[in-house]
Amino acid sequence: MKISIVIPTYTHDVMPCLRSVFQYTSGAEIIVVANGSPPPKVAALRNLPGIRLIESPEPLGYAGAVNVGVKNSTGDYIVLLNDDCLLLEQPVNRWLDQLLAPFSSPTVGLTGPLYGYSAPADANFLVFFCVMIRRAVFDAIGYLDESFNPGAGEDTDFCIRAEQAGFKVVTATVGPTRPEGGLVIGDFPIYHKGEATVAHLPGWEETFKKNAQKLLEKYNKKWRLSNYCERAVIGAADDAPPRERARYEWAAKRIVGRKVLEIGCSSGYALRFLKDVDYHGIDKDPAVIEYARRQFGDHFEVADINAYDYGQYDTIIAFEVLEHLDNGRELAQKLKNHCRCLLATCPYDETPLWVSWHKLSHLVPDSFPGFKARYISAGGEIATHPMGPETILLMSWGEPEVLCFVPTRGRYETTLPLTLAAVINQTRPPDRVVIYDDGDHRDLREIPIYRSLFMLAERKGISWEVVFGDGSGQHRGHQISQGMGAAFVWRVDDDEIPEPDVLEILLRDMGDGVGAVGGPCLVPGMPDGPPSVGKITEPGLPSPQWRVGQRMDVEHLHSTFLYRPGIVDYDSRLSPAAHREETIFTHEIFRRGKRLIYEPRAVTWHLRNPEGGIRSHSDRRNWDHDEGVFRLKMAEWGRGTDGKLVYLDSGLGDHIVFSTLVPELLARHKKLVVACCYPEVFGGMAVECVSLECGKMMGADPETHNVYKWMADRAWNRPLVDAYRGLYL
Amino acid sequence: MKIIISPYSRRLRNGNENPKNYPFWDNVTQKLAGHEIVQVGVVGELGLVTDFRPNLRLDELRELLKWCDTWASVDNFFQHLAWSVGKPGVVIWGQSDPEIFGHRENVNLLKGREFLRANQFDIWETAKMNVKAFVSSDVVVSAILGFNHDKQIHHEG
Repeated sequence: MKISIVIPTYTHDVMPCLRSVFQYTSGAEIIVVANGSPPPKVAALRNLPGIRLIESPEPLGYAGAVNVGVKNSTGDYIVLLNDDCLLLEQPVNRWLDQLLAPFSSPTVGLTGPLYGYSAPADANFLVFFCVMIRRAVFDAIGYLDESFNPGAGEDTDFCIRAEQAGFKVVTATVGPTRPEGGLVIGDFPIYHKGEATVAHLPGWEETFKKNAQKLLEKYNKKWRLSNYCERAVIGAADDAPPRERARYEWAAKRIVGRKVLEIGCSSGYALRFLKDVDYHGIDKDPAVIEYARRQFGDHFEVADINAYDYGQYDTIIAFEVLEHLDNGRELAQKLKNHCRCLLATCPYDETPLWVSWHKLSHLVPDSFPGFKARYISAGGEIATHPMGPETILLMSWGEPEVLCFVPTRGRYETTLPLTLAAVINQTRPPDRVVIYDDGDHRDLREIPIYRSLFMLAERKGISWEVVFGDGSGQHRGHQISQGMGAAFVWRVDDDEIPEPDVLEILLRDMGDGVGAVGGPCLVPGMPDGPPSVGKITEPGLPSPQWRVGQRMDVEHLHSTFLYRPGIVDYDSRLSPAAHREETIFTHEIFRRGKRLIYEPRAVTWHLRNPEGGIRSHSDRRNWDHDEGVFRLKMAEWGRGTDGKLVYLDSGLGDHIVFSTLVPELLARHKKLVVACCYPEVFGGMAVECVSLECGKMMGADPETHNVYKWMADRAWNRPLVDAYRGLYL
Repeated sequence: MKIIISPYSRRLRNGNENPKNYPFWDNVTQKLAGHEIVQVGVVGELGLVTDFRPNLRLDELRELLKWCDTWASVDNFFQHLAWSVGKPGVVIWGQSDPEIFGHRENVNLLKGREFLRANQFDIWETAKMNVKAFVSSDVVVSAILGFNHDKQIHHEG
């Protein structure tokens, strides 16, 4: 077995490379191809022992020089070694042994320490600064393609051709790859300075593009469309890279309305992610628009972004396009005049001229006043902070902010963390989470699980805050949330666990004219609630949200729902128990002409934690008071019943005496509402008890209902029960 | 006998003791020694017997009424509760009129109508305690022990 080493050289000093080869190599044929090198350099090489020098007075290009060397070599395995490489300290021939090792498999055709990916060819290849090739490969597929001269791309081409001929192209035995100035390839004992020759050639960039085009035409039809790998061209059946997928999935959950314009739309693959929209895409490149039309239909138009006659859209999307325009910043501001919501991305804080087709650099949030900024990592993760190289700046303007409002009391170490975790991990997370602590005002940051949850929220771009309530009830907190500037408020109680896509589903329903949307709120293990069509007049007001039913418009919602704040206020007359607060609130929204929707797919689990809770005000009078407020509202709404109202401001014994008349009263009246001091007297009876205060609000006149006055006025001398009978029957 | 006593009416809003309260309960309970007596009421009231059960719920009181042979109370809620479940007992009256605030099914012990307040419907804060307005403990004990005899309004003296 014989090894030949072919080292083409042009103007670069080859001597350091050769010295290292001499030092760490034995028994190999060394061929140096002086490829149009200056005469002094050639003269020096002529006198160098241990090499075979092949002289070409004119430059042959990299492939041409290599081919000459290979043709003059005699080895069974030929090593191609760039002249800007240095072999590092090692036992003699270790580098050759490492290159040779994979050839124990007869199907291996090429080995080398560095495997690369060619985007133009959409193929992997060995970088030819150091590669060992079995002679049989040359015999089978010929030499390097000299049409790639002076260089770049020929190695990709050769590797692809070798693989097409059945040879395996594998890496030599190396450890991890570490870029350090030049290249040190794992434990492979070589240093490659890199591009010492070709990068200095006149017109190198043009050569690179020309050869990339050659690879495209030969191996990858999408290369042309991708604008030399700058533009993501993704067809209907292609895998979308994580970052591209992430930004369109993000956009899909934030677009406002249905009329959407995308500028710089490329292949139109946005349509794979944006559903139920009236989409129009523009791009200046006719080729990519033609491709887009073939892939996704007739939604696309060739247009110059700066000359385009913009109409009005609900949402405009500008992903990876502003940086290509000299006036990208100004355009971002101009587009605000043509839409309600603008979503855009660009490279974050990119070095100037990193790529020549980017006109703008160092774009940061301050470059785009008025936009909310987030970041996407190369892996597609969205966060509030930049995440390493290749971070993309993700911006939105006019995006409806969703605030999640979680009132809590006494559940700090039970269900509240579960609720927050479920909220933060939504497929479409809220933009803000406000915890309304109406209990002990704990510093949640001192509790480890909350530290983790808050960190997670921040990583996901969710701001959070804790607001301390004064114990006066969650409706006070909800009222505060209405003034926090959000477009939508999502109410979630501190023992409710929304399934992961609840907010995304609710938002989809939150169109114009919709005031609130709520899904099923189910108790694990509990049977379904009674059927309901969500009318305010239903007896006992069963809620459609107590079971999974059909999507429908309703007149009131229960417990957890998404709503548009600012339409009506929460009822401040309610007690801290805030019983019926959501029924009153949502029905008032309904009465303002807004739709309330029950959406069965947005399921929330209600754990009904017996400990704590925002409504854990045990005084029964709170509940009776609130029931009275509710009855009053019902009367206001013209939904009152023909019920009998009784007002009992008296002792327990009087309540008991009156209670014996309840069957007679119920026989005469459809409903009996008793404003009283001892509601427990009426336990088990079909009586609605409310507080005395509510009784007054409902219209009861205490004087009229005062049985003692009634008896005094009549000089009464018969039993009390008969006085009650006289008063009410 | 199994007897429930409900000795007190609630304290007045001005802080005074309720004039409906019977002043001789000690004598009654001493004379009933040997009988099984349960006292009901609220926390803070003076316990007259060993078995004092304060703050029972209404359903618990109803259960207790099923257990007893009879009961005795002043003009308070207990007489109404017992009446509402059909369990007759003894009520000790002073200044309030059993014809209005009592139930005929019970033994209503009224010393005399001359002790009744002129305005039966006035608030109790205006009234004063009058120990002379009540029957003696012997009468009460007798009514309790003879409960199965005539049930009528008893006028003493």
